[in-house]
Amino acid sequence: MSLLGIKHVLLQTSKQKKFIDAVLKDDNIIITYNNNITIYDNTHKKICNSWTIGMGQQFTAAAVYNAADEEYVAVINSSVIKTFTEDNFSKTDKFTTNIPIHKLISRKGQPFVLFINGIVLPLGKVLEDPKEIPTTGSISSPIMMAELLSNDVVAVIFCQENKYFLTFSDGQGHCTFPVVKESLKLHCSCCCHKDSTDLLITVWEDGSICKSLIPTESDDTLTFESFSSVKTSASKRPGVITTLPNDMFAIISDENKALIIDTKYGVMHDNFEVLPNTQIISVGTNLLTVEEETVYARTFIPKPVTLSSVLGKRSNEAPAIPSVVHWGKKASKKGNPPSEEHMETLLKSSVEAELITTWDELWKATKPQQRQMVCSSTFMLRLLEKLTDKKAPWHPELLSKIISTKCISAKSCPNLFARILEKEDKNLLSKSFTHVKDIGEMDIVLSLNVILSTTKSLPDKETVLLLNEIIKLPFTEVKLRDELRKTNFEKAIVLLNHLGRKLKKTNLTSSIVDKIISWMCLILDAHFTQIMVTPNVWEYLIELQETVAAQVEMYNDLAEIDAILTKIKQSSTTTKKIKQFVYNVEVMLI
Amino acid sequence: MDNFEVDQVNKETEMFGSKAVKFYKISNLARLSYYIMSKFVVHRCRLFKFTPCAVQCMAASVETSDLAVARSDGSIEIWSTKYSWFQKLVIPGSSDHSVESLIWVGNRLLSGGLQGDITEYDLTDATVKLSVDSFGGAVWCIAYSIVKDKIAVGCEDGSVKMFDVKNKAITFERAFDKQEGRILSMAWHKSGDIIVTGSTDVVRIWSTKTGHAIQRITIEREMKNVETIIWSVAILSDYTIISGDSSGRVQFWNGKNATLLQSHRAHRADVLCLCSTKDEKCVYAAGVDPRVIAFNLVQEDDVPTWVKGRYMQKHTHDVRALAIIENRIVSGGVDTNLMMNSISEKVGSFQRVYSFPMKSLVSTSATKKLVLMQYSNYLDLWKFAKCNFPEELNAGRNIPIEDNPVKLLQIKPPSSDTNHICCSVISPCGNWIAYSTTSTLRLYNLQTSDELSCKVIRVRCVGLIPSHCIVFTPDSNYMITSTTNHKILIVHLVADTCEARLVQMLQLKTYTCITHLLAVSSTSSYLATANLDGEINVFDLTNMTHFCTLPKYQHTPSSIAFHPVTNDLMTAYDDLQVIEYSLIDKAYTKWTKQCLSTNNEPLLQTLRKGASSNSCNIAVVTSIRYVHSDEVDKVFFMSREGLYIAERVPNHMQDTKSHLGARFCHKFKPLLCTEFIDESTLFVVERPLQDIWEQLPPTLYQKKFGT
Repeated sequence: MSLLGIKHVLLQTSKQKKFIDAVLKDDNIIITYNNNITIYDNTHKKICNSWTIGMGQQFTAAAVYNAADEEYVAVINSSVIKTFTEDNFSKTDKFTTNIPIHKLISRKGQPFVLFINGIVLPLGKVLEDPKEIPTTGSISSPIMMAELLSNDVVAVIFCQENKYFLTFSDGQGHCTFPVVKESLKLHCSCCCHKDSTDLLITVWEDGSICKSLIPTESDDTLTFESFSSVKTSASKRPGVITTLPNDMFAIISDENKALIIDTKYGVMHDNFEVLPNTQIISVGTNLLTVEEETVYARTFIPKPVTLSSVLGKRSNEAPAIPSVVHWGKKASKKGNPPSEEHMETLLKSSVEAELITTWDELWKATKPQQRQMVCSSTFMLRLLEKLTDKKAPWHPELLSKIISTKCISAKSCPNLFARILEKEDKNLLSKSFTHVKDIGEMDIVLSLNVILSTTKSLPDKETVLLLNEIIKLPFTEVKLRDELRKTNFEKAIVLLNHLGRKLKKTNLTSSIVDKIISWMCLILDAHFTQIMVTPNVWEYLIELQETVAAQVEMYNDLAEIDAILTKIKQSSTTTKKIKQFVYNVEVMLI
Repeated sequence: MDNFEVDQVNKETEMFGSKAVKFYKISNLARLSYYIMSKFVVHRCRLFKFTPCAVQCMAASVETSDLAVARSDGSIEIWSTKYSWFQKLVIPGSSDHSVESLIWVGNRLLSGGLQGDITEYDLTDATVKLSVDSFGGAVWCIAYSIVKDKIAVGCEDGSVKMFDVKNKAITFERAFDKQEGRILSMAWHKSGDIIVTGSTDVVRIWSTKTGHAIQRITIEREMKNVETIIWSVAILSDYTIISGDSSGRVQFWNGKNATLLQSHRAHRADVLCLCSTKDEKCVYAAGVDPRVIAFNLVQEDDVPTWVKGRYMQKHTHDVRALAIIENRIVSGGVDTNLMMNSISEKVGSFQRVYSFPMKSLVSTSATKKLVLMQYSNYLDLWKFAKCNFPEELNAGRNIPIEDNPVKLLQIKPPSSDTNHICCSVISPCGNWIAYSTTSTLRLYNLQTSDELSCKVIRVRCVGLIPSHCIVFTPDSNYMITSTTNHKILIVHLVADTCEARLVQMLQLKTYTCITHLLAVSSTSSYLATANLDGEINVFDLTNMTHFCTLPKYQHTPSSIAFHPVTNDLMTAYDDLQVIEYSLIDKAYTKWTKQCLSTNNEPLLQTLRKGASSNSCNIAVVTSIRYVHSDEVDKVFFMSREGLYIAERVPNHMQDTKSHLGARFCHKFKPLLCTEFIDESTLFVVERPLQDIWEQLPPTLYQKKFGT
């Protein structure tokens, strides 16, 4: 649920001024007009600085702040980059590029320059050689949208011969994806960022608002998932749509209303009326609307979008035309339950072949959406109870089939693992570990105890596989620790040994490493006292410590490499002070 | 131009393209001269972290128009302000010596510092002459009365001590009553009867006859619990007392009644210094707020009123000292530079005097590609960078560095020697390093086992005396020093056995000033010495006799050098005049005569015009180098601002039509050293002003509009 504050006037100008854009700099807002840059102090709600350029010149892109050099960067007449400090607007540096600039994009105070041909370069690099910008880029048509993604890649949408394309440019290379939805025209788009996920929001001719995951690989394709709708018209003017924090975005509809919609459920959370041709921009926690000569600001306090928060909110979707469903005689609201015949057979018969056949029939007859219901039903509980009863005959094949459905929960057959272990059916055990849900810690430890009972020091291949399966199972630490305390100490050490060896061999990027480490910690915790007083075990511990130390050393080396890479990254973003050096050898004409 | 020259120009234009040929018109010359730029491989080194020290206090000499400037490291510079601003003498400081105040007693220079003594300096040899205990702890301020011929000293213990300075001595006379709190500022009335002191919250007026305080002025506190410190006081002949305090106020008091006449809050922070003009109609105040504000005395209905006048904001940091020299107000402070403004509000009369050293703090060994950098209390020895030279050396091209410069070692004087290093040098062969403080001269032999490691062995030599200047002969067989007791020592060096032996001591005729320049000819047959009086002597080293004395020019020589072939002695002076003297003919060379006859002003000054800013002091030439070939003789004059390059036809080819070619190359950042490694390789040590400014402490925060 978003909360929009009271609308207040941010800036009032004359008709001659044409609004370009607004960006955030710490607590200030940099508002760029075609002939003026104004800094607005949002904390104190006042203008703190304003600069105007002379006749014949105009700003063509939003000014940004370069935190590294503590100066502002603006674009004049599309090709001239002007840098200036707060104190000195007139005495500044100007750099003329060989290619016109579309936009300046700033991320955490570091500016990037997006040229009209799609080339994106860090500002420092541009200022170093402003005339050496590569002329061949991926774009030769007007840019519709350009936004910086969370991975510092600029996403650009452009229209070429009535077709839309999405391209990324990180200065190194680019990938292009077609943006196509049923030959509809794309009206506007924006990117939403959440953690490391980027979502592309597109508004189409038919009023549908779609979201797509920004593709990361060149093989990926863009798929559009419609989640809301709004009436908009194709407009070349910017500022029709803007992203907001917490999975929200704002859009101006044809009815001169600004709508705040969330991307999760497509629900409209707020709206307000605006004048025609209004532009809407999000700057930090402020939503700016540029209505004629005035810039208004509204603060909003976004709250996480949850299902409960959207309950009661009216959906922005157009009312769906209800479809007519004819109920057939055979149709039942509850669905088709398994036939009684099958159930009776399964519960009473003891012939495995018959049981298997009946089960197969029953399973085929059950619709996929009902299978989970069947597996959770009382009938299944009774069946599993019968199959895992000690006195009843053992039907491993049937059990295997039932377990293979992946619909069985360990809670519905508490004796399952005990019975399987009793029968020493390792295949079934392995299948159970893989397919049965919600395996309790008690069953896990029970299985471990049995598996390790035959293992002295080095488990065999089969055992290793089983142990690996067990390690992957989810568990609750507290409960598992309690259960591990009950295990035999020697078995725990064997397991510990196995985990140590596995840790040595496992690739650190593997997801199982966390599990291995958790298990090791739990075993050490559970048997700490006994480990301390058992010298025989210390050898294992020393070996384990060496393994851990090797990993730690590797992590330390990685940290050093990371530091060096960070340093290179920082130093590679050169500032315009290129003549700073400590020692230089050059050929000079004197 | 005659036909020969036109043809020559056309040929060269054809060869090198029009960009290579430049035409310069030297004033008063009837024709154009030309030259061709040469390509040099230039090692631009910015490893030397030279940072001048803050100006602590200043004193202007009435007799000689010299300005004594004390720096925060305890060193004192004597600036000659008659013609151009030339730093003629530096008395090195030491780590246990500070200077809080300076005064001139006639032509004697005295200082007081936190170590609790009053020091007199011997300006003939730049050393401490006399040091007397103040008997009151740290000395914060000194004042001098011409009438009484006495000095009064404000001490840490809150007392004023009076000393007699007659007969070139400093003798304790009496102590005034003690007061609470240290005495931070002091002023002596013209009559000699009244002394005004400032301390914390109070200004006292003392009678010098009785030694008692006759009046006490309590300064109002801005805030209850915050004391007001009176950093500076002045007293005019009509007994008007002016005080500058820590609240930024400049207050004018009636000294007779101890009443407040006027109070001005013109500064945003502490007022640290005051200065009044000779006519006492204008008082200047400056402080932490780096503006120098003038207060003018205006008669309004026969009531004298002090009104705030113009202000000058040229400093970036605290201004700690003000002085008036002739019709100029000089200010200095934490930003290390001296700023000069005209008292008469003349437009364009501002000048910034940069605090770059007048003599080179860097020496090089071309053979071993080593550079020695002198700091105040240590020396750094670096190895040049190694380069990968490409086949084509195009101008403007950066040559990739294969091996970065390496710092080989750092030499520090022993901890018992607290004096700063005054001069140092490395021999051309790279095997010897020598440096001198005011107490010792040390010689080291450098032994390099491989390119990146070396060992330093102290070489002891009997008879070595602390020196102002040290040079090695080009063959590195001799070390020659000019000592603090006005002698020239010649020491023979044997690298193989690491031995040094004093072989000759030459007595200089002049005792009244230091010999600050030495030069040895390429064949080690001649030695030239120059002192601050402008006397230049040449000695014949083959038979250790005085050879000749050059004609005296009215300015101070700043650099001397011998021609590598003809042994003509080139001298550059502080007014940028350059004079070449032929030892064979014992007369000025033809080139010098031509320069003097064709130019009204010094040649280098003509070149400097238009290239350098007029708002900074003229940078004197600190070294002269020759690049000689059969066709052309090039002389490079290095100054802080750049390189003056004079090209002329070699002497043996000179005729009456020998043409002059000269230009000023200011492509470099402020230069500290320029040396030729070979004919086409130059090694320059630059120190960008930005790098110096970055070392300075933060300035006073000033709120800006709208922030």
